[in-house]
Amino acid sequence: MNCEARQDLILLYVASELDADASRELCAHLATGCRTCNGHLAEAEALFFTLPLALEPRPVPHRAKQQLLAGLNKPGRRKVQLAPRKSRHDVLRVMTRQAAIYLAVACALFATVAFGGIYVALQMEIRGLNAEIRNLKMKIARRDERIQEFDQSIAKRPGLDIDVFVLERRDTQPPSARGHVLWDARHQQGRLHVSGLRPTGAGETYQLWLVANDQRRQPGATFGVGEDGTEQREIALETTRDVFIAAEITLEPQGGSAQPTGDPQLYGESDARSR
Amino acid sequence: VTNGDDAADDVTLMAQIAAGSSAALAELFDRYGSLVFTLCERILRDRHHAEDTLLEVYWELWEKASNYRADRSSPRTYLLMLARCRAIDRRRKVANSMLASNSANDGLSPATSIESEWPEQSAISREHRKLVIEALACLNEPQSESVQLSFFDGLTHREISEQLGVPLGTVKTRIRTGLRRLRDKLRAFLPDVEIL
Repeated sequence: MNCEARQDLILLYVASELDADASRELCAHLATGCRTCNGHLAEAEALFFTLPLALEPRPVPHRAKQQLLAGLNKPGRRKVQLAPRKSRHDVLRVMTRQAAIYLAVACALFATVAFGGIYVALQMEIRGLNAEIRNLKMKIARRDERIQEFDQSIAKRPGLDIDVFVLERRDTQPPSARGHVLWDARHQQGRLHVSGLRPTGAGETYQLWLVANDQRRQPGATFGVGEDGTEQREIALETTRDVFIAAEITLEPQGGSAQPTGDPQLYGESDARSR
Repeated sequence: VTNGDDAADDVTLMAQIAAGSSAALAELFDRYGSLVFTLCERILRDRHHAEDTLLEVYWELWEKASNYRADRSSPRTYLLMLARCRAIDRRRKVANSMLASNSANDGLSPATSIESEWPEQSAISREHRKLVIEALACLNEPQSESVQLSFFDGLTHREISEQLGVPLGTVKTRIRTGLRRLRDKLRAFLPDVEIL
């Protein structure tokens, strides 16, 4: 394309009506310093900007010149631009965003109140259950004491030859663990009562031992305990004439042992011996 | 379409403004303030916005006078380019409903006679104005309308095509032909005074 042909393009370029590709090509050519085309460009700009001369003149407001001079070198004087007016779409978008925020806040408040209520209700329930558990434990303890008192009162009845072995816990058992053995030496039979023992593990069993004068252990019954650690049962020995001075309970393998292999869990001497 | 002495005076004023002379700026304001304000009001169709834009243009000129190149355009052309650009920017920022309340026939369109004149202190003579009005009158109605929508309203060819309901190619032809005719009419007065 020669410079003559570019004249029309330059007219359109000045009017901002030349398409992007043609504008790039023209700018590249002008940048080469072509005097003809740069002259045409200046001419076209001058031509284009003579058009306002044809307008009906409007008087400048009187204060404008004064404002112009007063505003020179004043920082921020050009901040007279208006904020873009919000379209209906913008307003809807803001309203939607605000509605979403309000909804989220309402949900958060509702969740807080709901979870707070549930938490308080659960706390009250737990407190009630704990109180019930305490009452049951007290009842169990009172019952055990009554049983023990009853058994001891039987042993002290005149004419009966019954030993009472009050069993006390060893460190392997909880503080509430206790028990006693009523032993009728004449008939070689008796009764075992324990409470508060921890449940046995798999393959384990509790085993009662009666301790003779020479410290030999005579194997008694093997037994487990219920969920509350309690067990009551009759015990009997067949052919022994030993005098027993104490009773002991150990933890043994399932089926019991001929001699104690585990640590003592409860141990108590004869009430008569202790007296 | 200014005489050579005026253009040379304008260039001198621009140099003085670049050196920090507020008196030179005031002088340039007297010369072209009315023209700039009229152009801004025509584009914006709002007197208050036009006044704000007028001040912005001169303040920008005050700050950037050193960027002006006398070998590219006359100070008047440079000032009007700046004014048209800022006015169209503002027009796009402000909602059209705020600006378009005035019709095109409220005194903002190009004149068809030279009964009214620019202020006495301005550097635009009655003869200059008469030449431009006559040149515009040489255009047929579609050409004049298309050129005005392009220049005064800053519309693209496509927007003019949609507004007038004519094909895009027709709009391009009208504008190109219209500008060519204006150039032919005014060319005799342009080179001596505008290309320094």
